[in-house]
Amino acid sequence: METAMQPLKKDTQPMLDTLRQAGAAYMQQNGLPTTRHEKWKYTSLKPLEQMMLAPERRIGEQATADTVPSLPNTMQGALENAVRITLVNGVYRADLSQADQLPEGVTLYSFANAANEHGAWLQQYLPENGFHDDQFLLALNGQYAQDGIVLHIAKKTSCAATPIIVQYVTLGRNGELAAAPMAHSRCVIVAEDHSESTIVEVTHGQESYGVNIGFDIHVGTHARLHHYRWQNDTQRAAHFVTSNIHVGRDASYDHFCLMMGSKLARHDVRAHLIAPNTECRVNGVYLAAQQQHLDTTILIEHHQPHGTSNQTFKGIVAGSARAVFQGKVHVHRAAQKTDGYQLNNALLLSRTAEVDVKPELEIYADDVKCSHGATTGQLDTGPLFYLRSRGLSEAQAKILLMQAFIGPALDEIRDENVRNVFTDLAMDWIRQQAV
Amino acid sequence: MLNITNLHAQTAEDQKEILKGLNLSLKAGEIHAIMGPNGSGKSTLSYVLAGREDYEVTDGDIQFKGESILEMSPDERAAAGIFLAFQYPVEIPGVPMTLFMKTALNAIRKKRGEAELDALGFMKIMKETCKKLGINEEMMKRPVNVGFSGGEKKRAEVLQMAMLEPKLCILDETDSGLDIDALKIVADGVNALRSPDRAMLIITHYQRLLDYIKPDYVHVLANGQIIRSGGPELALELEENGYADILAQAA
Repeated sequence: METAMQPLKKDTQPMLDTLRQAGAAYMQQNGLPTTRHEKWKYTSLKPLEQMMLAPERRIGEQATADTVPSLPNTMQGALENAVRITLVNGVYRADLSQADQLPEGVTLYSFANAANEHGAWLQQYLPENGFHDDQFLLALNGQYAQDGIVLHIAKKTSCAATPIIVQYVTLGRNGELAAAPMAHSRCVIVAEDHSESTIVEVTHGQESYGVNIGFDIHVGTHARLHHYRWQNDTQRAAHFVTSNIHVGRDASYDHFCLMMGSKLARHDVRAHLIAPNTECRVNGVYLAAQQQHLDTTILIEHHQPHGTSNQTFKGIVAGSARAVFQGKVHVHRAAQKTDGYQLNNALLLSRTAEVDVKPELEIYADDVKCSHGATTGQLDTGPLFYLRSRGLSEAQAKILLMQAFIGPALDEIRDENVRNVFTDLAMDWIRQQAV
Repeated sequence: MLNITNLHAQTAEDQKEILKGLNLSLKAGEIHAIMGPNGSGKSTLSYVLAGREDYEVTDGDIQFKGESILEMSPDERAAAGIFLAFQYPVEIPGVPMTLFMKTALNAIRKKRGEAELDALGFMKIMKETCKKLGINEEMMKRPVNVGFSGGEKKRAEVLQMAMLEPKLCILDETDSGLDIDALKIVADGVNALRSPDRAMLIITHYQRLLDYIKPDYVHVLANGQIIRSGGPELALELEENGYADILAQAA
């Protein structure tokens, strides 16, 4: 792992202990945020109050290749040359992973090993205490820090054609979410200068559980990182992802999240464009039904000139589900010539469905191009009747219109194979809603 | 083929009665024109025939091929052979014409008990129909009606009609917004579809269209009723004297 991974002197305090202590101290002092907290106005963490926030190791340890849920056929087919990495209940599982098949230049460590053996190197990629001041779930993640993964993509490695699938499997308990354990994992992705890589994540599991993943992502100079996620946790799960992202000069971070699982989810992204001419794409589709509550909260920090950021989100909300989209673009004084774009379109399929949207622009530079747009609507009767008058059944017409609605967001996925897979997965959901 | 008796219909939203006892009968092979002033119920009639849910039939009946269609959904009516060419074809961003037409054609074939077409079989029919109607295939790659000119939209309607092979074609103000060249192209397309087992109902405000699509019968619709019927000469009379005279006679 380049010079940074040369023999290291033993840390005075093991890194995991530091994370745990800092996390525990913060949680003891602050606890989880209530809806009075500005950033948590639309998403209540009340369901977590009764939860066992600590991980349950035993269930995960018993998992074997036969008992972890399998990936959908469409993904196995279209991404057949992918290398698979598996975490079960927050712990990296070498026996369920293909680390030996990773492309040349890509190195994988379990987070626990990396923290023990290369703590000083690893620490540079994490916030000082492991979390920023109002990143409650990341502090909680630190409090129970045990494992995760570190993916290092060496300088000039070009392996985008071999996607790395990282699946976060969480095996929970039968019963209500309230009594379920929570798995915490830390995932560090370091894409060194001039590298190009594709990571496809899947979060899924069984029964009732919480899953809380912390990401630290660094995209080096002129590097390109394609980072896609299919959130498909069970309908009795609580899913949290908190990402701190740093994008370097002339680099591109290309993210897409297809969010359709879990009872309660919050996808929290904080991206820093720390050098000139960086590109940051945080796009997604959210599909919520029944009683689901899916929250996407994004903060893009433009620190330097000529940066481009793009947020294109399309969501469909059915039943009594609720979706939240909070997107903020913060353009600092030095970030002249910034191009910031944000769009959130939501389609409500029922009277009891709800979407809360809060777009924000905070601009201190005077020569920038920033725009945001948000719409919320329902399926128009005009196009529905037009399609039906040509012979399409009501369900067929709705499917076609919903497909067309989310299409522009899916088109933002730059990897064609992943785009096709995610389109298939979204279409499965849409077909279920149309009957 | 089509028998409309004492048809009363109102808007679903505010129960405003628009059709007030309309009677009309079409036989296979015939072309009927319905003319009338604005607000007489022409477009409502076309929507009610196609089954739009924004309208409620409160009395009377519509029989198509001997059976009442009042309880049929728009797609069931389409499969039975009713086709409405819209006055304002709807733009559907994100849905390519080919996908739309393949889905439509296969849905109708399935309901008619015919085998569904694979991609190749569909493309063959589509290309042939485009050629026959002089339509540029490029149009089929674009999203449904999005960015189409007025003429392109109407041509696309005729293309759909040709591909779905209906028994009853309703053309709702197909001439609106077309210049004379576009009108001729659309009329040629419609004329190519004339056949002894197909009836057509041409709804129009102006006589001009009827120079290109020659009707067998002309009806005048006013205030929700057919107030006068006659041959093609009735259209010329209307063109000459306007609606005022006929409306006055009826009153």
